Amino acid sequence: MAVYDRAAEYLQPGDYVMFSSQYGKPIWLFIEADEALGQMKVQMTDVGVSLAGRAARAGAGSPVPPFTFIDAEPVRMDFLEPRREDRLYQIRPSVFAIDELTGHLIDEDVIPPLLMLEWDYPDGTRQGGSDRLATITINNIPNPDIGGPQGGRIPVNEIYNRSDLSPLYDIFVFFLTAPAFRLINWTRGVVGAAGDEGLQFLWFLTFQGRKYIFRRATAEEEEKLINRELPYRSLPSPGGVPDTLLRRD
Amino acid sequence: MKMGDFVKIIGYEGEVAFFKIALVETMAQQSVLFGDAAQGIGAAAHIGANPIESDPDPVPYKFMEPVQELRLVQMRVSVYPTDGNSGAPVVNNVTPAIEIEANSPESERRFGTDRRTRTTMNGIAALTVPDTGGRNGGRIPANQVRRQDDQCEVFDLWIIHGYEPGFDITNSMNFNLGGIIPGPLDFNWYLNTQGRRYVLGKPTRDELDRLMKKEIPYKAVTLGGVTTITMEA
Repeated sequence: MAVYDRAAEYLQPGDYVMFSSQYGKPIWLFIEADEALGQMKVQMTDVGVSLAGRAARAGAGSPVPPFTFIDAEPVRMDFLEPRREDRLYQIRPSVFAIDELTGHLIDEDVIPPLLMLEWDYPDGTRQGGSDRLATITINNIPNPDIGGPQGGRIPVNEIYNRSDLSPLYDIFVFFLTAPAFRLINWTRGVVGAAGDEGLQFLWFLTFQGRKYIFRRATAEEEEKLINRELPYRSLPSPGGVPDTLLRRD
Repeated sequence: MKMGDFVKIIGYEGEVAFFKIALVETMAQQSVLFGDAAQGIGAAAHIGANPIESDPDPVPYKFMEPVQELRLVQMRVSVYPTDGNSGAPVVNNVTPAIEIEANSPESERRFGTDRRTRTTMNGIAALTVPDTGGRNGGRIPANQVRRQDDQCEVFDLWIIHGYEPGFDITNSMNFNLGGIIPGPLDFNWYLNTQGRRYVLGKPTRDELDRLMKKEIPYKAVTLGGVTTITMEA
């Protein structure tokens, strides 16, 4: 089990951060105040609302069945939108499951990496993959549509809500934007629902993080930042890196 | 923080002041019992629904208030359940569905976002959470402040003279916390406070100039969090 510093990567008042859009000129911000977001959670499955497992592969020539989705599209989390221009959220998503019968937190060791979270960036685009989309056939097993600019997903066992959350998938949210999420299932087990299969728990998606008030760096500060006379941290672009023209092999 | 450190205290309205830590002392641990066999914290009928609270409002922790100016308290909360019979700590039943609601020292419910919205997963009414987010919509997940772990600073509260925080425990499970029916969560539940208290000194004019230019390192703490936006969708 990976161990992280629970405060890792959070900004602090007095920090300078550099932010750039996909194509734009970078700007520097000064963090003036901060506050924990605590935890907010939504429930993704219930004993009556389940997410089917994928079917067994029929034969050597048949494609691997696709993921099954809990929602047709990622669900926009409107409550994660800052309401003013000078406010910034740092969102750390996590997932946990509890046993409906015992109330116990499910041990992360039984959470399969093939249960994944698909997310839209705050600017509304699906990101997280590579430049190219391709079918990979290994040992006569075709794996269609691997990769591509939207082909990456977050394995939930990496963001399981244990004591120490990974900052690897932190999302920074500015005014007028909000991220969206859905759970996808590439295991053969049902997620949620009553029964006796291994993933039949109640699944929650949780959000933690911090909120900040910032101001633009002054011209004097910006000159020092450009000259590296003041330390700063760069934030990931809300839209990721620019997509290239999609190429399919 | 240690003696000699500099701290920048940021007020709720954005006012700031620098201080030097003149004295420091550990507060050790102070514990409050929230649920036991006689006084359980009820079970939520549906796990996704709004949670059951141990009290209608967070209970003021009057003992955490510094009674003089130029004193600062750094407070860290933690949770642990114990077995009602043996008193032994219970390790495996602290879940993120058990959460702490906190009033900041200014006695306003804190944590959360600017907006409160209804969230429905899978288009299913059973998975609708009516009030997600909002300026007081965040809670501290109990599993991340378990007493057994190393304590972390993410949810630290900073308290000055004239203010006190408040707390209660919320239960999003369909099992009692405490309660009289034997079950997996029927333990004695404690909320603990640890931390340090400081006496603040004033920096010299020269130190202040250098602090403003970031020539001397300092720690910045925000009292009461960031300003609240009252408009909600």
